[in-house]
Amino acid sequence: MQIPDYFKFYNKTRILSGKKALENIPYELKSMNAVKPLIITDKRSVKEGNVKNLISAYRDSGLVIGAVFDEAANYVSTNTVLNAAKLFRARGCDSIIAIGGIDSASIARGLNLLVSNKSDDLLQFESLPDTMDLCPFIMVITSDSRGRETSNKAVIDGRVYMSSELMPDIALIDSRMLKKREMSDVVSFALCALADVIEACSVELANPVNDAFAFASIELICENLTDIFNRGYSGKRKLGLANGIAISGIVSSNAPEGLGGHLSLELSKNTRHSRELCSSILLPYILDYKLKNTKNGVRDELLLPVLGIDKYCSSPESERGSLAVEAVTELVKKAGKYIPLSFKEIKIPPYVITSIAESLEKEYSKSFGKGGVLKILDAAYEGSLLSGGNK
Amino acid sequence: MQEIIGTSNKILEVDLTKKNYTVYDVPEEDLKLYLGGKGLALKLLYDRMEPGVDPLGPDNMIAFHCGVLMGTGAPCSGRFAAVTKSPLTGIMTSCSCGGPFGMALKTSGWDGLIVKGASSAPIYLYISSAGVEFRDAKKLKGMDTQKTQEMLAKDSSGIVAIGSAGENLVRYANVASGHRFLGRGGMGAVMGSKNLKAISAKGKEFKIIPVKKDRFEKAKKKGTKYINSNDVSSGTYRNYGTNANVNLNNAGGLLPVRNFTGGTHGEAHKISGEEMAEKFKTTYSTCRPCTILCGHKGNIDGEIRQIPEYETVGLMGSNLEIFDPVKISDFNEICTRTGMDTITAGGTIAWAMEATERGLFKSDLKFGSADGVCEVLDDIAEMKGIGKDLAMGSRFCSQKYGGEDFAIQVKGLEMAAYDPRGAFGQGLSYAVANRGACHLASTAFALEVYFDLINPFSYRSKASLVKFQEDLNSAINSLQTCVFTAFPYELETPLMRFSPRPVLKVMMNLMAGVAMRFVDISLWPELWSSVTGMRMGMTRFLRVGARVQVLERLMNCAEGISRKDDTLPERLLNEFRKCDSKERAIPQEIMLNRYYFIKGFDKNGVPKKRIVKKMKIKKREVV
Repeated sequence: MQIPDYFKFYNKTRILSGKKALENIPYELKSMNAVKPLIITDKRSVKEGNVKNLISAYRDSGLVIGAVFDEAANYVSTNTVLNAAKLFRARGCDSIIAIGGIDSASIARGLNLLVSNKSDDLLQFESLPDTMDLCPFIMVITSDSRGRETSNKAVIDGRVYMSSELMPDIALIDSRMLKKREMSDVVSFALCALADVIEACSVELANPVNDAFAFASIELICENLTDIFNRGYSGKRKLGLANGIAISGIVSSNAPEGLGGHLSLELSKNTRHSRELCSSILLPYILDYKLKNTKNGVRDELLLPVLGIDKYCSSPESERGSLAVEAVTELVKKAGKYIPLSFKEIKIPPYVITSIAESLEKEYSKSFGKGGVLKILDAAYEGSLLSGGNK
Repeated sequence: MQEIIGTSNKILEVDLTKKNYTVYDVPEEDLKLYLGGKGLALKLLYDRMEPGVDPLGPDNMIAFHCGVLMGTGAPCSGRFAAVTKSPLTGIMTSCSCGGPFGMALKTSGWDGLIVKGASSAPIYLYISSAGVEFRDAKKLKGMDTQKTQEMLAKDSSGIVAIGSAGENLVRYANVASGHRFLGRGGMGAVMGSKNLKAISAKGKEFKIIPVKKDRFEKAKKKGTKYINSNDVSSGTYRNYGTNANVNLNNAGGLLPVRNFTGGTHGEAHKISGEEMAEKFKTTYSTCRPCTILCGHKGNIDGEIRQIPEYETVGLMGSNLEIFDPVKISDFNEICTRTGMDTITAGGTIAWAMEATERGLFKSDLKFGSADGVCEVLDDIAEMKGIGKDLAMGSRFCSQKYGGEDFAIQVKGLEMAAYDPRGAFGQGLSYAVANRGACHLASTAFALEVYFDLINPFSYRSKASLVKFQEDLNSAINSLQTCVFTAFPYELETPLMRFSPRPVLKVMMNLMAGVAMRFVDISLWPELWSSVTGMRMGMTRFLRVGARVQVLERLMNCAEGISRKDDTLPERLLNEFRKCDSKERAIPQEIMLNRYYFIKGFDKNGVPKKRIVKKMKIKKREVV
């Protein structure tokens, strides 16, 4: 592993994971001088008893919960954040606990910006400094988490608010909060997090500390996902996967957004298919294209977290990159039991694909070659890689 | 004059790229299965067009189709349909229009017309019984819809034309025929992308004679009697036009106010049909032939203008908090000349006003002020300035600038002027309607609020109600008559007229599925079978409607539509209005599950194989 002359890594999030992790919340809040948190969540989490679990962890702590705001929905609007801010102020809260997925996390981050800066205008935070004084913010990871909950970004009304300080102070992973989900969701969330991490450690500006986090995340995701495919979905694997996914947010916060992230976001905007599904479909095609058509190819170290030390050591250096891509492709292929594996299957029209490729061509033609974006999308449309070129 | 007995069953297939045409004879079986109009046009495109084509590319097709009643003089039969893949929504869209083109096409000897390919230079088509002529349209370029029609009127009796919005590919550009429009989904842009400025039909070459003349005359008489005895068709709409809905909707909490944040407004009466009739001394200006006479014109600012329809008044008036009918008429005139859908234009401008208010979008637009609206409409038609983004519709703008929660659209099509928080059945109808947030898919609001037959705030029976009305309206649009005939033809039958209202209400609220079976809808199939000479009963007629619905859904599913798209905007699901006596959320998911079950769709909203087979929809075999 080479250490570049200049690199930057910042992570303020502590991960508390494992049995009875929830019970640490009162202590952690006290240590941050907070006594009255506002809980932000969605209706599903309330219905599934996640809020109840959290409240029981508060028993005998002497702290109180300010209020529960359960209006998190698929689309986070400025209005929702303003409503949360009103509630936060009306109840005299001093900290934030978000339970659930990226929607709860985005509301929590927007709310934190408003209440910490005593403002009602979110747009003034479009360009944020990397150091700010914000309220304590704890993110409780659930099965709806996709990794971005621990990242430094909030997406509100389609706008991205980004600062290292927006990362949660604590990410809490407790198996009681990990409820059963449809396998298609579990798989696409995990693969999306995997795609984000692989992309983050494949960029030119990758750094060794971020790589260390990334490899841990890849290992946890690959190992647990393979186990889930082979032996079924269990509590242990759920927890392992949630840990890997949570770390992925930290990794992607320390790397610039790559082509995969951009493409999946655009595809999801244009087709209403989830970003996670689009990202899962794209993952092997981007890796394959990079391996075969770009100068830098795919890093050989990727093989280490994907297939483990034995396979890594027994493979010649020159083949490690291609073996890593093969392994990831194989993993996605196995996921085909639960999710579609091509854009054709989810009926994204070719003209939409062409227009997205054209819009991103300028930005990525340098790193992916002229027409590279379209070639990747075309291959993902046909699904040729995963069907052995028969589709 | 030559005669056509029943229907000619001849369709022109025009290829603009090759500049040639062929004639297709519609099999009798297809006419029986799809009736004509919208249904047959959809079937023809289903057989000809692959899914996934670019709506603005040469592979997209646009089909115009008359119904079997066109030219027979049946009440409210002066309408024709057009079907294409919408550039606004990316899925199938169909429109019905009461302009003179339908009559001209039919009396030129053609039941329909399919246009494919794209011309390299601007052209227009001239259609007569002799066939199709491809004529140069360079001189017509940039001309507005009305002027274009005037220019081509010399040798034709009916024209469809696009304005500058269509030429500039505004995604909701419409197609004008007379002063009526194929309004929704951007058909004008599809014609524009093909460099097709207009289609003119000679007409008056054939006389249409029903096969069973006596039966037809009897049915026609009965229909006219029903229309003339119904309060809505012969009173409210005839006297005040569709703007009579303003007061009805204001009272019922359905009026869109300030981008659908309210359902009533104290100043709504200023833009009501009653007020406009008095202020502008309105007279009739309708589709031909028409018995209801809901279209009106009047003297506005010393100029005889078409009175804006209710949807225009709702979306460009109360929804923008503008209650000046003259200003609304000005907006309507710009949309008429440039050829733009007033519903989508109004909905998109309302989004822009709110987004501006919230700082998400930069413009001078603000609620309650008409300043700048005319200029923005002109900019949209010319695709310049902020108009370039607004020309793509509110879905595109909200994805680009934020504010998806208050972009009031479903599947990319802006919502018509009935707020579903005042009628839950209408909410379900908007969510599942094939072309997007369409008010004409089921017109559930009428039974819920206008006729007070079913509790508007209950989710019970709504799935059955919406399914029945969707099937019926689809069949009516395939017969190609006005959907307003549904009020008199359904409600003036003896059973409905003389049944005690409380009994009807109980039946509708508790057993809508059963109650609907007793509704006498025999007049429509009777008209169809007397013209064609083929047998058609009520059950088969409704089955045709269901078939057309399933076919359209199948075509949309092939374009990627599924349950994820059958949803109302966040605002309508999560925000409450001050005008409601208590906070109510539309129970969309419960109604949706029931609706899918009744329709024979799987949980993802895709028609099951069983229902496709039952509907006799064959596997797509592209011709």
